[in-house]
Amino acid sequence: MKRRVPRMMVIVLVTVALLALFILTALPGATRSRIGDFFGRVFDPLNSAFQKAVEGVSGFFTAVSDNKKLKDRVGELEEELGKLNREMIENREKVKAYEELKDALNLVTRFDDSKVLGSVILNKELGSYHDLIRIRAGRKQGLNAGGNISYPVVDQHSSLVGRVHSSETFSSKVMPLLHEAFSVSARVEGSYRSTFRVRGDILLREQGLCLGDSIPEGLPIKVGDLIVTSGEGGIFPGGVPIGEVVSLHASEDGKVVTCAIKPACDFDSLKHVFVILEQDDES
Amino acid sequence: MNLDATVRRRVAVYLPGLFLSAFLQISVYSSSAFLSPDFLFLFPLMAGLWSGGYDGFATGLAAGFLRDYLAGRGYGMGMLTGMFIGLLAGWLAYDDWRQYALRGGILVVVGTLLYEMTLSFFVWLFPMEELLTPLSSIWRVALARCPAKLLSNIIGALVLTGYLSLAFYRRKSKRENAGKVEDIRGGESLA
Repeated sequence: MKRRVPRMMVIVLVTVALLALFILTALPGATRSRIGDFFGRVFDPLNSAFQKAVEGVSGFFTAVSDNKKLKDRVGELEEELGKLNREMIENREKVKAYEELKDALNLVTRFDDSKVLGSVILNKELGSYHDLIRIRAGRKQGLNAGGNISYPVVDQHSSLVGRVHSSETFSSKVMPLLHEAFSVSARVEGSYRSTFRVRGDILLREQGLCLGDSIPEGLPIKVGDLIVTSGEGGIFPGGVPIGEVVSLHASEDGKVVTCAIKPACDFDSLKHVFVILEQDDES
Repeated sequence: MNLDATVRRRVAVYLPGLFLSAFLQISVYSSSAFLSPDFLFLFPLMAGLWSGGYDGFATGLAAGFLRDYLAGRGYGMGMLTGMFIGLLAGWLAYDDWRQYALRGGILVVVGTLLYEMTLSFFVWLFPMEELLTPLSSIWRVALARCPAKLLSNIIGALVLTGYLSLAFYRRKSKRENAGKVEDIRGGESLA
């Protein structure tokens, strides 16, 4: 017995409807968010529950196997605890002194003047075309990305991860640093000379690298240099680590024109990200 | 293969199957240490091949939507690709294990290549950036990924076949087991 195949008319109608949907969602704004909002209310909690269940199960087995090791470690740690308690008392004094100094000199640590929103990664890229990361933070948490509005995203070491691409009610999509549509104004750390552009590149992405291009003539740059954001692009604050130069590529006349950069952020083990929501212009 | 399961049963199999595929895909793609079958590509393919008819078409749309929601640049193109993958599988559905294995094997290989190339083509056709990457470079990268992807997808297809055969399991009657159907019209047997 063979079941009836779909009629040509149905296929044509659905194809036209999907093309229309694509055009509507490609436009900046409304439809994409509405579809995502509606579906996300059902799917995101299920997804979170599944991930928690997986973590719970794997955590249980890990706990059993690690139990013996932990017993040995407890003894060692108790010895260390006494030592650390003494150090803590000393450090408390140091922290107090640092805070006094910070107030006195008006020092600003990184992101002191920004609202930072922590978030869990729901899923990473799924392949070509489906190459954005979804995080559990959306409009309810104050993210309103879309169109020209975007927010920088960093990891727990304050290294650049990417930027928020679009926001829905409870979740958002993040365009990672390695994505070919991503670009950021950058400079070599410690140098306040000319800036250049760092962007994703399809060929380099396969090696986990991004591309530095538009490098001005005479810019002192070498392999091993740390590249940081320049703060000139408007979205990203200055001084956020992007990565390390791993190779330089020169033109025929010997001038350095591009470089390959290994991101400081470890995308493979990335589980949590931090979105920098707002900045005080006066800083 | 099950070409005569009821609609309710098919929905009861496909709906949790699709969600499970999505969750599994999210989990395996988060860890580069494992082979990562593309379950959201394989599910409509195996469903279409298993049941024929509108099943591949419908699950393709649903799986495409899940992909678009999870990591897509917009909605529509993932659904469209999933729908055609499901249709292709549905057209090849046949109620026989040997044919299922043969057609399924070929379809996973050809489908994986087609799917990767089509989505890569969309990357080139609808760029998000001002700088255009040549289609040849995009396809070269997609082709380089294909061997690992093919291996993963073959394993994934086996897993999904297991799921579908369990979910659509039907105990055979004594008559079917005997391999013959009695003539109930009375009189002499026609055999």
